[in-house]
Amino acid sequence: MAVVRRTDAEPGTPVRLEGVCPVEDAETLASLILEDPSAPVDWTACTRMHTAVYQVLLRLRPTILGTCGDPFVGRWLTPPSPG
Amino acid sequence: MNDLLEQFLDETRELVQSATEDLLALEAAPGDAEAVNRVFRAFHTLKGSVGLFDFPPWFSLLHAAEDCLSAARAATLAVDSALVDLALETLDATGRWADAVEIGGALPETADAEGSALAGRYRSLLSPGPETRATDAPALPVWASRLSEPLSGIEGRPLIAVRYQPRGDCFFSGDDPLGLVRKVPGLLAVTVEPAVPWSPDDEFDAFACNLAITLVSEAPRAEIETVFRLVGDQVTVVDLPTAIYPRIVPSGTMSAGAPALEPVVAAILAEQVRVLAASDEADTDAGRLEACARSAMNALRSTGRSSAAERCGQALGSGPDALRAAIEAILSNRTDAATPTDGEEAYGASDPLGGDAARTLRVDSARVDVLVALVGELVVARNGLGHLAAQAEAGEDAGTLARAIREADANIGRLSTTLHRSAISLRLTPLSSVFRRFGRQVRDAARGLGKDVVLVVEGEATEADKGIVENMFEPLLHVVRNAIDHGLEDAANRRQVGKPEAGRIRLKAEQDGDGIVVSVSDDGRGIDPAFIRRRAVERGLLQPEPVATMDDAAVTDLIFAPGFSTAESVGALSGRGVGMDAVRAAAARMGGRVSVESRVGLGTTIRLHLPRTIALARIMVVGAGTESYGIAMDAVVEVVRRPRTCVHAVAGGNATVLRGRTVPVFRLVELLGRGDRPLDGDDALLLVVRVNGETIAVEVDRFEARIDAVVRPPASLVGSVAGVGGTTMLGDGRVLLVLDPAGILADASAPAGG
Repeated sequence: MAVVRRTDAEPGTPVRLEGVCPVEDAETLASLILEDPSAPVDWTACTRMHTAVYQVLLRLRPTILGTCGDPFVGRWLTPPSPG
Repeated sequence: MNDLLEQFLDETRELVQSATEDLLALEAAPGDAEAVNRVFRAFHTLKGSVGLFDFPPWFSLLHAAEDCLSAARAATLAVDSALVDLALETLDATGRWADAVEIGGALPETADAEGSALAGRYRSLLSPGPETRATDAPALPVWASRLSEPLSGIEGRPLIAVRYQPRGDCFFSGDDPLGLVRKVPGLLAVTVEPAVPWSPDDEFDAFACNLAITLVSEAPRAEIETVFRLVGDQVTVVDLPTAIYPRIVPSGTMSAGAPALEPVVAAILAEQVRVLAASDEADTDAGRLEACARSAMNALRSTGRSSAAERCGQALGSGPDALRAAIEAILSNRTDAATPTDGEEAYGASDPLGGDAARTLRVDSARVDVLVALVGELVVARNGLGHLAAQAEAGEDAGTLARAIREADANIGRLSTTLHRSAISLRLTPLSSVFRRFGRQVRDAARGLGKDVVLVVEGEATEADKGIVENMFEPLLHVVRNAIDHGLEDAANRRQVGKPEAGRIRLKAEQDGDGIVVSVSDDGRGIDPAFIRRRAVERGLLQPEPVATMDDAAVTDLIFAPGFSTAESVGALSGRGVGMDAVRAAAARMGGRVSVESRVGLGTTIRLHLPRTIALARIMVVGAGTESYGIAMDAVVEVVRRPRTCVHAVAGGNATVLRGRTVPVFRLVELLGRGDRPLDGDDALLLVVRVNGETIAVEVDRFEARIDAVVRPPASLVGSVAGVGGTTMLGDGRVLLVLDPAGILADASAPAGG
């Protein structure tokens, strides 16, 4: 699992994506964002992102921090704008 | 130097030349869209060729130039003198760098600084342009600039667009759609959009895929299809042929400020149009519509075209047709603006040089045909010799045989002469190759002096040997610069004397017997003989008395004397330490001469009389002392034998009377410094020659022969010996020095001139 958020986090504490984020991470990420829509997502430490994870970001449009650590995503995909 | 580099350098010089001409044409008529196109294509091709080698400063300079010209072509940047000057400077640098590469295989050390300075000026021309970089550029996110990174150098290649809409349950079957996209070779752009817009009310299912991926790649279609072979049912692959984007493909891909659509943006837009067109109005669901609009808008925003993106956004509300129309408009706007005259021509012209690019040596095929025919005849003539030999063996009588041999000799002689002439004609080049370089030179010289000059060129189709044509430029340039600098008055003076303000320089070539005459005429102030007389005396070239008695033509001719400069002050242009004497020397080196004709107040004409070919010359072989020398027959007026008693010693030398005229007599052995040998024989053998308009007799010891020979211009060591016009080979293998009468008499004739 590579979706990290401190459990005692204040609202607005970033959700961090770390390392390889497989398809399973999509649900975790989605629930974390839905729990606290103000939380930004820091994807700089993500080294490989599954399509499903990207789709979560595209759908829920959290604030994205930094440039995605996954070179493919960082290079080619538009960071979903907060919506 | 390898072939590729050699060809590159040739091509570069040709392109520099043609672009220079087009720029000058453009300067004269700034609205000439065709000229803009041609200049653009030349720079585009130059950039492409330079890109084949590793010359980064060169490449980026041409790239910057191309961006600007592209804007000029799209009529978003005015073609003014600033742009023309800059482009000309770029061509200058390109020419110099080509020379440096040819000599040293590398760019000069200054190239980096010079290139970036010029490129900076291009950018500053563009920066106040239509899509203001100042406001848009900072807003450009990092990813967008990355998007454009791989785009450099893709022009001209076909692109493939892929629309990949994975099945909703694809995540359950273990698919990672983006994982496939990662494997696509030659990727240029990717956009991921919801295939169907998410409704906020729906329960969010993280494992239902609702994505449409659009990508553009430059890889071959087959390679892309291989990547998607397992999901072929979810993928649409389309070719994006370059022909659809006549304007887009060659555009400057790196500059956010350039008005042209980047290929990738165009490809994305075209793909949206395709998707919209493919679906019926009825089943174009809102999701697809929005995805298309978003793709287009993202693509446009990514390159700073927020207003165009805005238009797409507005069109989205009005349905698929409106959106499609809006995107098409953005696409076609570009193409329309870019190709005001002829859409196909603009980029369809695959040969940027056109059909008449000058090759190293272009030969009319008819000339080769003649040559081939002549060689055929020569073979036949040679067969005749075999026949003769057989006759001789059969004991044919000597008289008949001799006649037959003489006939065969005459026949072969005729053929070899014709063959030689034909072969020589292969080297004939039209003078236009030299004349065309003067447009630029005259413009620069005139501008440097603040004069307005019209250049008129005539007879540029006249042909001469390649060697002559190539060597003609330097002396001619000097004459032209002189004419502009010293010949033409300034505008105020011209007005005063009732001449048009713009001075006229006429460059003209014409056939003159076996030779050609290239003349440079100006309609300026002319050469004042009184001034020349004064100057000649001041410079110590001549004594006051002989100068006073010389006629005006001879006085005017003094401008060619070494050490003479007519300029009151040393001009920036022609006062470079090279006088008109250098012109005379250059003409003489080519086996020609120069003359001047001038009328005070009306102008001056300087003529270069040059041989047309390095042809067979008739040489008279004469003896001087124990040695033999050749003298070109065309310099010899007549050959006379005079009783020695008719050669009189006069002040400063000898003279004789020929046809009622007193002619100075010089002994060849003395001229050649072979010592003062005693005169022998009762008669003096005199070779009467005309040198610089004067008739002079040269006494030789013997006449040996007249031969036809190819005279090779003096080279290396021999070249520096005054009076040697060239060398040729005698029938017995000896090398004959061919004398140049003007050269050997140069010193001797001066005292006789009065």
